[in-house]
Amino acid sequence: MGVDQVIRIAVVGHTNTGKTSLLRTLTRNREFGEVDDAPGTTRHVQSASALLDGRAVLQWFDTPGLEDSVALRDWIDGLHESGRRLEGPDRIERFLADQEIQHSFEQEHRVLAQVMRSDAVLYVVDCRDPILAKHRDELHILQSCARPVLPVINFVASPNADIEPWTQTFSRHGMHMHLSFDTISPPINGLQMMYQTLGQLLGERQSTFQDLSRQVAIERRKRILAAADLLTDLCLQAASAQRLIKDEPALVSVATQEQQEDIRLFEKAFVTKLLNLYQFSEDDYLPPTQGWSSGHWSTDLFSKQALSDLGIDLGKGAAFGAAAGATFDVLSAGLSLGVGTLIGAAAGSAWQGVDRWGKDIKAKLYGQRALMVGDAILLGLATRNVRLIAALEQRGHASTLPLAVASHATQEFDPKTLLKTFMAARRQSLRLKVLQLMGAAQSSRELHAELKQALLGAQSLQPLVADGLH
Amino acid sequence: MHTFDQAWRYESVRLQELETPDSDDTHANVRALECGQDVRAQLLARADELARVNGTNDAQDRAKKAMRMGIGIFWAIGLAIGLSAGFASLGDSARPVNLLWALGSLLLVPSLMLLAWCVLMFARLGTGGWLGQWWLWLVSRLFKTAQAGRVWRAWLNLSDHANAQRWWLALATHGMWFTVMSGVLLSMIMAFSLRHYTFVWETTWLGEDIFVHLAKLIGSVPGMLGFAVPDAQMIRSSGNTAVDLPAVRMAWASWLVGAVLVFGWLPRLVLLVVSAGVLRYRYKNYQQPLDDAYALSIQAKLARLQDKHQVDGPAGASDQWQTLTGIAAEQALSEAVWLAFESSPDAKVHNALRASADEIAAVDDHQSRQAALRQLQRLLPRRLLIVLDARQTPDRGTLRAILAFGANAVQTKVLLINASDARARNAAWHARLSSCGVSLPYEEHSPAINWLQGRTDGR
Repeated sequence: MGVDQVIRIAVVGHTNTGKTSLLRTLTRNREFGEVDDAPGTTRHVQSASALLDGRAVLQWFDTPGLEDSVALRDWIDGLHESGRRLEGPDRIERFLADQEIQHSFEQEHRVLAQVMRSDAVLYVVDCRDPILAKHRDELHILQSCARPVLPVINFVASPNADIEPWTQTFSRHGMHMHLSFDTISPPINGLQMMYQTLGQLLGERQSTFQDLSRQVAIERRKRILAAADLLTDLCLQAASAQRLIKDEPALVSVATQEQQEDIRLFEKAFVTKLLNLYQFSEDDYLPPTQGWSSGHWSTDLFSKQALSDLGIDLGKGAAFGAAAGATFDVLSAGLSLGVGTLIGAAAGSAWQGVDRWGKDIKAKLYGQRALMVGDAILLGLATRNVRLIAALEQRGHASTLPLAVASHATQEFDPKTLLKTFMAARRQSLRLKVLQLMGAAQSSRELHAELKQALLGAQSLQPLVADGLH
Repeated sequence: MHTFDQAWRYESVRLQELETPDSDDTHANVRALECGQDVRAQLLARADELARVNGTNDAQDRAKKAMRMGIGIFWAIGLAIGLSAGFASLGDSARPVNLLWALGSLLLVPSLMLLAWCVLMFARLGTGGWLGQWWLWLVSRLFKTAQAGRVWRAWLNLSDHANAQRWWLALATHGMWFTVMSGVLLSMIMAFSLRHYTFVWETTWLGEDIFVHLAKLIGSVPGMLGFAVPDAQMIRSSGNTAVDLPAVRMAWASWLVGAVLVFGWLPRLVLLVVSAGVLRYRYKNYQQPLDDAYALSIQAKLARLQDKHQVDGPAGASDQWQTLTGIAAEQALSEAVWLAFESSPDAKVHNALRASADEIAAVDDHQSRQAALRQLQRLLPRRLLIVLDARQTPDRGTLRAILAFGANAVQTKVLLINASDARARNAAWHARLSSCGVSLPYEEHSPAINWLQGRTDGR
């Protein structure tokens, strides 16, 4: 195997163990091959490439499932040649050359032909299955092919997973390296582990695998930073959205509705971009779970329940605002609590919050006030979408299950930092832009960087950014 | 500026694609893949192709035309302001020109503005972001179509990314002042050519020496460039009453033009060139971000397109099954037999089965299959029950074994254990079993046992 040659790896296994799913996950391609919970879904060998600096250095080969290894082993073991003993690969070659028997083992023929053309083999097993004679025969046949085999134990995240007997069986067949890999919820650095293990298996190509592994880590890091960028933009966009209105309840009500609609559209556009970034698409998902349906959030952010589900206590939110030295404005609370509360609170001391925005020059001239999105809403927006990022980051491209976004009422962030940047973002859109020229306010780029850092500090993202690359 | 145009185009296309993510990019993707492995080249080629097709190029041309027109108008206005300021400060030649007043009125404001610009620029205060806001507001009113607005937004984004906003501001400011000062110079040259001026300096209580020094000081730099500097005698004699001698007149006119040129016009020219140079440099060194969400999505898309997904041949035909054919009823030698194939029924089911029919040892590997087959050929039962695990996948090997076993019995039926398990693949079993003529399997053991014992004839 020359160093410049493309490394070929065949993915084989018993039928219906998730070979195509594994390739979907490895190549981050939801459209690769066909996946179904039925035997014999894949009926030909299909390749997928891994690129290194834009050049294909590795080819995966998805193969049809092995379905009749017991009979095949019987046939292969029965081969004799007068005068000498047949070695494993000789027997396989004989099988591949025999026109008659090909007919009975059409799929097995394709699989073994591909194995013989490959540099290594991934043998995929479903660790929920008991080990049967057919599995042992598959291992025996693969051993006869004289190619390095890396057993991949699939569905390890399942509650029915039973790994121990499988690892023992592999050892008995001289396969002492194996990899646990769940195609539905793959380990965060699963692909890296895959490349590193293959690098050990194919020693002479170790440097290529190391490069691939490094590239995977870098790409993952780029992706998560790009996702944080998108979320930062969304938060800044929402925080700086403002609507100047005359201070009359009827007008406030209409403007509040419009403002809410704007925020929903911003969020929808964000989700589309995020799904694109993670190479998922909007119509991949099954019925709604946790306020998620057909590619976007279906639970309304502007409800008390949604916010408390996200661990944001409205009362506390106001207190945080005060603690951060920010005035919590009633109009923005109105967005989250409904106009009734707004009118009620108008009598209270909280009018100061409105005043704050009411001092805008334009507002003063025309008797207008700026209606802006409240702190609690912004925190809610950041929280649920940071969890969405975490969920996408951990989702396998073979998964057909609904997207599971963590829903626990714990705080993702230290709200102080976030609220501080939200406050600064609001100023960006007001006349303080002019003060910025005088060096009074932060530049929008500094603000972006600060918020991005705060968002990356979210609880849900910690396990994903803990590899020291960030 | 080729790179600037390209960067601008890329940013416009980026904005457009973010707004309408599903637009057709098939051809552009092909073009991108044609230009090799360099990611940046791919992205730029793709954007170029999209821009050509979707009207971005036209919008960009229009934007450039508008920009040029704007610059033209600004120049004209600046020139007009300069001319009128020049003529106003020199007067109508009825009275002698007061040298220092004229110089002050022409240079004071430009110099103060220059100073202000320097302070803002080098104290690094602000970002010039407000210029963008103001510009966008103006643009949103001038250009109503989405395409045009997008091109301008792209221009703004680009200048922000390239850290060029303040230099655009500088270019605009210095360009404006440069035309104003050009107007002033033009007006002076015209006035001095076509009118007769005399020059004085005036004072009530300052001494002559101060003016001598001042005039020499101001004239020193222009003097190096060849402009005349009046000698001390000339300066002294021009105090309060004008001297109408050609030499004196011409020396003062040259001094005045020189001063305006060196202190008003030249600095703006230099700064104009510097701003343009910095802009050019910034854009030349500008690199499109390859790590943002947009670029990463496109890269992934291109990588997927690049991957040809070769196949080894046409997909194999779906499996063709023989139909199960048992022995004739009169050939049967025994009543009922059961066997567990690749499955292990729990103790309760096992005991119940064992109590109701002959048992063949559990079947799994090749040897046990052969043994079971030999035993069946000896027993030739009327009823054969094969116990299977519903969680297993019905593969070809299993079906083949069922057909082989069933060929030695009059009637063959299947019991699926674990059929109510979450992982049971009942549908797949039903489909595959019916395709080879095995009747619908039992999913509970009691009806299966009833059948084995001959109490029912199946279903």
